[in-house]
Amino acid sequence: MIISKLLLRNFRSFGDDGKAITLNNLTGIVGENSSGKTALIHGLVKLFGVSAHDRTLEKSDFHVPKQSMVESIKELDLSIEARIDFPELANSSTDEQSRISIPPFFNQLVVRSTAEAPYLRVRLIGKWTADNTPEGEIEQKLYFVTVAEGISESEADLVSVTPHQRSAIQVLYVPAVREPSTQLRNASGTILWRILNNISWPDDIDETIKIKMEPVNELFNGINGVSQIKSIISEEWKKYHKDTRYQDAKLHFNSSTLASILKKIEVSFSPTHDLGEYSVDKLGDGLRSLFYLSLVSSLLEAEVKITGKSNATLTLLAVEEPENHISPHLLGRVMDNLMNISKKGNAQVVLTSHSASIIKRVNPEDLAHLRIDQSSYTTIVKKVVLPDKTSEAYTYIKEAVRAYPEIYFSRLVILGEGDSEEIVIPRVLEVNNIYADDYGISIVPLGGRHVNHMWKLLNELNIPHITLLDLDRERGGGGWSRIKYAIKQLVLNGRNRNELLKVWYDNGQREAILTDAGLEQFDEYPMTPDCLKSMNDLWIIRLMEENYNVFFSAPMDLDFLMLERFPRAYKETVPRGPSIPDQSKSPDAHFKKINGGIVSALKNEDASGYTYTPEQHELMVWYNTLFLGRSKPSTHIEALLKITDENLRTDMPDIFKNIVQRAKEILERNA
Amino acid sequence: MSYLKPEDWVPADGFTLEPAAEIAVKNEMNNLILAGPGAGKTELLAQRACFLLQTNLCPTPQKILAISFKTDAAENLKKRVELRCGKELAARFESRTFDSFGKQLLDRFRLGIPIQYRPEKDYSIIFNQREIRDIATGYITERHPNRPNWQHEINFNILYKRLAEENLPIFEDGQDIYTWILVRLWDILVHGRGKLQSTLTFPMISKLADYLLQVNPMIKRALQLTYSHVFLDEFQDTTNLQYELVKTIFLGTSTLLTSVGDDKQRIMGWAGALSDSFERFNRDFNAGQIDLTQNHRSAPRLIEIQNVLAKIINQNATDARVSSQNSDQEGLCQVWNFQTHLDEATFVAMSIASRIRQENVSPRDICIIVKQQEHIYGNAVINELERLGIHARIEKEYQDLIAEESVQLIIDFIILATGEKTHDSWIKISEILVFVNGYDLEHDHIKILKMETDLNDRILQLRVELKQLPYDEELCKQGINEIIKGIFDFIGLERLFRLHPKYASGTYFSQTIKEAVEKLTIAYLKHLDWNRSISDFLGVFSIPIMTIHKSKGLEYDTVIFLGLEDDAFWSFNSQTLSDMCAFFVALSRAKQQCFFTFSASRETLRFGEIQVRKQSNTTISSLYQLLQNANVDIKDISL
Repeated sequence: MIISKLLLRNFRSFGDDGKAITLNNLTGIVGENSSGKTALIHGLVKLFGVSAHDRTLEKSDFHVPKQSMVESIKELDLSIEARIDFPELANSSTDEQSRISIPPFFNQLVVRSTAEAPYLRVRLIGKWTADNTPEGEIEQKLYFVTVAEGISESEADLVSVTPHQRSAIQVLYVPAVREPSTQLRNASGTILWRILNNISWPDDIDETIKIKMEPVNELFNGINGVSQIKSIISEEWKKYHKDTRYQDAKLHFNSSTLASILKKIEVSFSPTHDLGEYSVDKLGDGLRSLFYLSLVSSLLEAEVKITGKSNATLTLLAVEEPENHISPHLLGRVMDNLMNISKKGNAQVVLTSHSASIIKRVNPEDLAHLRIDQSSYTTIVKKVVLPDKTSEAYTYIKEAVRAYPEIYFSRLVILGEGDSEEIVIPRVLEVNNIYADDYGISIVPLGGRHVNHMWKLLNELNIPHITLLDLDRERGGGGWSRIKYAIKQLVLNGRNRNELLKVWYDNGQREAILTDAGLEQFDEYPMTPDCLKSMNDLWIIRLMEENYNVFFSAPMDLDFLMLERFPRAYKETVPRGPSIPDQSKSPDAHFKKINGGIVSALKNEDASGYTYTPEQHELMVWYNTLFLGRSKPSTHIEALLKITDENLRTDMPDIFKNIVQRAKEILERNA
Repeated sequence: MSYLKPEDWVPADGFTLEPAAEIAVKNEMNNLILAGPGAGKTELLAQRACFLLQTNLCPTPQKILAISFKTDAAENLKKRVELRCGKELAARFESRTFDSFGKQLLDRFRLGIPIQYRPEKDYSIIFNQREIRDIATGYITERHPNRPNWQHEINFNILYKRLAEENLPIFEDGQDIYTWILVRLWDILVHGRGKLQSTLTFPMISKLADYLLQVNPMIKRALQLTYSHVFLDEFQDTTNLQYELVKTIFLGTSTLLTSVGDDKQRIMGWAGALSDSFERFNRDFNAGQIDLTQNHRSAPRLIEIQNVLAKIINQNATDARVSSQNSDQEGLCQVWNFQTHLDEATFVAMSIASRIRQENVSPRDICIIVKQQEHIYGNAVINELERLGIHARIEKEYQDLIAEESVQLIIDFIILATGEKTHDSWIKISEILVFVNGYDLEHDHIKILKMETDLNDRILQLRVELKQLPYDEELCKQGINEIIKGIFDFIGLERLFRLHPKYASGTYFSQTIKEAVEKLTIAYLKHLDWNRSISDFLGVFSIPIMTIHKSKGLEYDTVIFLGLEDDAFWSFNSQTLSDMCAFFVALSRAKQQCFFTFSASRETLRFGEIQVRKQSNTTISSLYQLLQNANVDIKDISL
């Protein structure tokens, strides 16, 4: 049994059009502050919270539309709907689970089509009406919707949920802040209480407790101070109270019934260094969080064993920011714990997080991204879109986003091709007073293969991004083919084809749109000066436009670009650089050396480097030593140490200046 | 909640169970329980439900499903279980009729049925085979290539039967004219055509439910996992269709079935009851058989006669034994012969009057049973009784009406507003209100308190309204109609419909209410006192007159069967067994006294006309022979 979807309408930041969030066994919710993460969790709590107090709607739960006169509103209504699926029903090996989850709800299950698995719809309807009090009058009702989704419904299709049915699903909420120990204790405590309460206690347990407590009370009363207090209380009372009823005021232990004892049950730890017992409060915050979360997991398991049944068919643990109070090295264990809980047939986990360390442990398919739509101020929900499961790109992108979870929290993502960008770009930004961490900029090396999937993903999440690709002129798949690739992927991502492929013939006299076949011909284009001019002045410039944000490290890649700009700094990183024979003295050796450099730098046996200058040819020999012969990052790190901020700022390649400029614009626009 | 160990369980409310019953209650196998008249079937099932729930052998949260034939039987069983083991446990006991079970499956999972057979959401239900005939002949416009005049050539009884029994989907086989018609008829019925809206019969609903479970095994599995135990009441009346549905769902699963019935009371053959349901159940479900032998109802003399008859119906029948509580009784059974039905009426009325006045038997405890045509057979007696100041009524007009939930609700409101002992009604109404409003008993104290205050105000207002009704019949009827409208407004019609979906579509609800208004008006104007009027409406002052079929499951101190004659048993030769069973049912309704009458001439309805006809008893001489064998007095009575 699993809450597979939550539909929120007019609830807090969720607007009138309603938003659906699909939930899995474990669901991670990411998004900026006040994007609706807590609202989403509260939606679950309003449906299936354990205490009536948690479930009660308040005025502030009702979404007030933007630009409305709050005073003029007389009525507001909201709804929160959960779709509940029963995956266990598909398989007879999980009949044990089905026997518990299905019976309470069988009479409310629905299907939409012939072979569909039956599911359940539960909806909370809330209505606020203005009256003379500031809070107004709030009505709320929990219903089963007994028609399938998407089928028109009438009031007769709403059937009240009995308290008994409702309590089969319990949402335990661990809020982000304030008192982690109390709140976590509540979550585990609720289950502990649930179990203790369902143990078959002997009928006469209260009587037994009373008898056993008698000596304690006697002992207590026998102590001098206590009996004095007792007589004082009793005498004082009699001064004011003359009635024979309630005339004896006694002082005694409160915990003389099972119920009162259970409320006070607590875990303690021993041994400790000072021979006493440690209550859980004395543990550090991190250990405490860990302890309680692990308690939830083990108690869920133990419940059936101890009481012979699960008292909740589904327990959904909603944890806000599990990273709080926990030192980073324990986060893995916290997540393991939550994963374990989510894998149980009778439990489900929803968590929110701002921590990349948490999110990278969540399967990208289990992530939902929330943000606020700036025009309506309502929450928008997006799932992380991955390529088709059967495609090769699927695994690549899935692993990629898992490796760089920070993109979910970014306000700008710069996609580079590799390690070099990760080192160079931040420094470039920094010398221009843009501090990546402060501004929420992620520089991730995911610009290479499958970049279109990354674009799709980022577009879907509405995260602005800049892509820096290598032009790789004369390299296999580089040059025109790289341009073609970028254009094709942009078209796939829904960019306006007509604008992207607009060309002029006859000296600008005739405007036309390149056909697909025309685009395919890019691969065949020669590198004549005319063609190179078109590449540089038309295509590369166009792709840099705001709509596309695709920049090229030209003519080859970022490494070469930096080497060309700061040859001294880079060359100095090796104590002994390559020796290039003098051209005039030994032209053959010189030619051989240079040619060898070109071939390896361009990674092509037949490469001649004809689109590069002789100076660049010479640098290619250095390129091989600096970037192919040793680790790129270390070369860049060393070289960058030798370049002053001032120099870097003034002498950096133009393309970087463009990127810096664009980044500033994006950040300003979204400030 | 702590559960009992099976060995610690004892029957609720101080009942003692005969050994066979104890086995029937506790056994954890598929069982067929043979329970003759007065064996305490309902009690047995209620005790078994208690046992399963209290020991958790029906493990939480799984449920017991009890399937009965009539709504009131299903209601009674549910109430009995609540009484025996409390509401909390009884919440896991679902008591339904076959029809409502099938209909609920279909309604909820309607979209799970392939389009070809998927009815519209608000399909209507027809009960009459004549209507099916009209639809078949009126709406199938396509010409059959070889048999253009099939409308005049086919046997419609076969069509009805195959419409009810053919498994879906139906394929045309080219040879069989019926499959050709059935394919088209199903299409027209489920989808509607022109002005005809989507229309189903209950057998079709059952078939569609069966089909649904075939095409969506997950729903079937969900059913199997929901119900750990299933009770089938009145198993002798099970039709092929119903039995197949039960088989589709539960055959070969871990769900345990308990069927209860009495083959000696199999009188629903005309409605399609399987003649071999017991054998099939034993075979298919590998079921054990348990015979209950005690008869808690009838006096020893009557049981003696029943045993003689039972042996003839089924030679293996075990003799019923007198229950200890009746062992000091005697019992009386006679046949009265008359010359005319008028003599009969006079004598029967006098006998009834003396039984009521001298032996202090309540009119409600005397029943007049006939084979058929209760209006005709009972007419003279009603008049004669009326002359003696005793009221008798055709119970059919009331039986179903009173069983309606909406009518029950009206009665409870009137009782609350006018009666003295109103606790039960208060509880019933507040429970319904809490339920339809979806209040949470634990948390919505304030709302419930307010609801109760409102209810109280409404009741006080109702009290005034009920006192101020005019005496003119028409105006009084309008007044009562308004009052009832007010009651339903108070509850909220939509909420009520949600609680009882059967009222939501068609004119069923308004018909029911209209009829109730008429009957209540008559009852009120008769007594001008609501206490008495309600009792009258419920039949407390009246002698019920009914057919054998309507008497199923009921019991009376005295039973008078009018017309043990060939005309009444007109098809005795062709369905001897079924008529024997009917005779057995009539006989076994009586606790103390049972009389059969024969009149040499009587009014009967033939071809729509009432005529006085000579009566004979040659065709059914075997029934007379049997009574003689059992030493029943046959008295000629002349006035």
